[in-house]
Amino acid sequence: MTPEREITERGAAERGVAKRGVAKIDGLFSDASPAGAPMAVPDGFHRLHPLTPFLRGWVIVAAFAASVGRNLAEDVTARAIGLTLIFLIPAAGTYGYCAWRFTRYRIERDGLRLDTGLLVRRTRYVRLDRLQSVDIVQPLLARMIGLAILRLDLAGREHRERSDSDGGDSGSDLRYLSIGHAHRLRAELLATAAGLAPDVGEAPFHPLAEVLPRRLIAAIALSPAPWAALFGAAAIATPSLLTGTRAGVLGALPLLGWLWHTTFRIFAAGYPYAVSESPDGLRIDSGLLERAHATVPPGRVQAISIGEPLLWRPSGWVTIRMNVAGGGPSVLLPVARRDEALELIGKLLPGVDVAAVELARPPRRAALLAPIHWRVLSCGADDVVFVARHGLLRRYTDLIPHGKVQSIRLVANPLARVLRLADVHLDTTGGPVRVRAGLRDRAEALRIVAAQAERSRLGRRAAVPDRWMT
Amino acid sequence: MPDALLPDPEQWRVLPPELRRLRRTLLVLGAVPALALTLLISLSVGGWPWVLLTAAPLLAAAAAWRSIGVGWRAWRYAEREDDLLISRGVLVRRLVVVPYGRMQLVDVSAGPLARRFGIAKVQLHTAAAASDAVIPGLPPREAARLRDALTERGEARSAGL
Repeated sequence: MTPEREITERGAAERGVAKRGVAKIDGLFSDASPAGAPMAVPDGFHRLHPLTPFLRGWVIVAAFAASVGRNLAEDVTARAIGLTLIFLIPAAGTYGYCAWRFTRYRIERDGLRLDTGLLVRRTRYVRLDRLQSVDIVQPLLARMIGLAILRLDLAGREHRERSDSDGGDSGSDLRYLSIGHAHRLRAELLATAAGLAPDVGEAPFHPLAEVLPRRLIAAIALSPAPWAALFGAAAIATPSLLTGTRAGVLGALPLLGWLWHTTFRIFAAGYPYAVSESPDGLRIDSGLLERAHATVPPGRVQAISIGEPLLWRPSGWVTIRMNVAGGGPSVLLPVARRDEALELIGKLLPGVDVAAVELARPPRRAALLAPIHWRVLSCGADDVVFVARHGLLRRYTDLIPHGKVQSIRLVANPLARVLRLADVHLDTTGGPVRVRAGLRDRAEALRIVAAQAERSRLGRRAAVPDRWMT
Repeated sequence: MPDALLPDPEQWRVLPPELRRLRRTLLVLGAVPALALTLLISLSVGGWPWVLLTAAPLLAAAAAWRSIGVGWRAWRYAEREDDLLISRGVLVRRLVVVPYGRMQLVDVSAGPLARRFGIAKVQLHTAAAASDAVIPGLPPREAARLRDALTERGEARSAGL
């Protein structure tokens, strides 16, 4: 019996325990039909939470009010506002109600069917074997009344995302569900996607890493953007404060906004932040005000990048980002010690030891094109991943598992060709990570391409099956 | 250039001459009015010495004519056992390796003019937007054969994301 199979069976056994727990909860709720449970429609269809129209309708009122207000900025009177609202609120309410009334979903044998649309009916079928990540997102307003958005990210969604202008969100969001139901539905979808019975319940998970608040604060204080915003605001505001005019203070407002954005927003997104591991893959629970719970199934992480800003290097801190196809989460860990980060990556991509991969520098003549940072550029590969390093002030170490390479490109611009150099790009799905081995000797670059084509061919064979529990 | 990738250089396939003819036809269609206009303006503005101005569009057209030929010759493709190679570019040399198992769809398209010249464009899409694998012109029969061969091999070797 292979170790993987063992883990799988243990996972299934533990799920059995969890199943009883969930069954008990369902038993408690089934007769009372509480507000949190989905409203059942015949044929096994479910509706979204009945408070949805209020949350979505509010958005419409705000959008209309903004555009009307802009047009009538000259003569806005209380009466005009009142009249607008009298027409707007019932219209928004009707729209919200109808949108809610005509949206329904059902879990089918290997997918989720989602019907939407009032005038144009649209049926979307989400194939669960193509699932790249499942996220539960709670914006602040929704969180206050206990609602959540369940988001299903599929491969290739980024191509079509913009064309779906249905309320500005992509078509495979379920918004809004009660938070309890969102968690149950997520467990059900993940179990179905994994190839198990839909009612086995939530998979057990154990924590891998979390962000310490003190370290996050220190990391924010050690990044240049907040300081630039602070000093910029001070530089603009000080002269006008001294002379007693107000214009300069107003001028500093955007910079203060940026300061808030680069400090508090980052803190609220990065603390509390917990990364855990479960048979259903990687789980990330984060957010102080807006909560987000992401689940990335096993083998769905396409590429990873370890970033080391200059000021963090004395403390040995790094930030890890990743690519997940279909617009899933892009940050894996906002700040961590380097050894913790490498350990986490070792758990995520079994058999990978980034520190042990031998990296080779480009030839000396590359210094003519990259006088300072040619020493940083380097690349190498082991049995599982290709590693490339670049960046002088912010040093990035990019990893891509061989099986995840979508295509390999060799690019040589005229200057590089004069020096017999070339870049090798390993393309992956959209996201923050772009893997590129810069300024290699041309013959070596060709060897890298040939070797990588072979490694990727073998890597694809060893891939995790789409239904990861089967 | 890629010896390590393709041991037998005979496997490289070149694009049909119709593509070069189509591009040069388009060039002539654009260059003739431009030349006539320059000639007209230079004659109406000044005397005979101004006619020398026409040399500029003429030279540009000649350079474009040549670069079409060079670019056409540089664009090649080869089918290997597990992936498709496309090599192109004169100033910026590019080589793309697209594994069959990673192809999401193959587009074959031909505009009205391209159809007249008997060529079709084949474009390969993977999950990565950067992949950029295009064969700009093939005879329709070859394009259809390539499309079928690619999809067939793609199915046989397909791998989840």
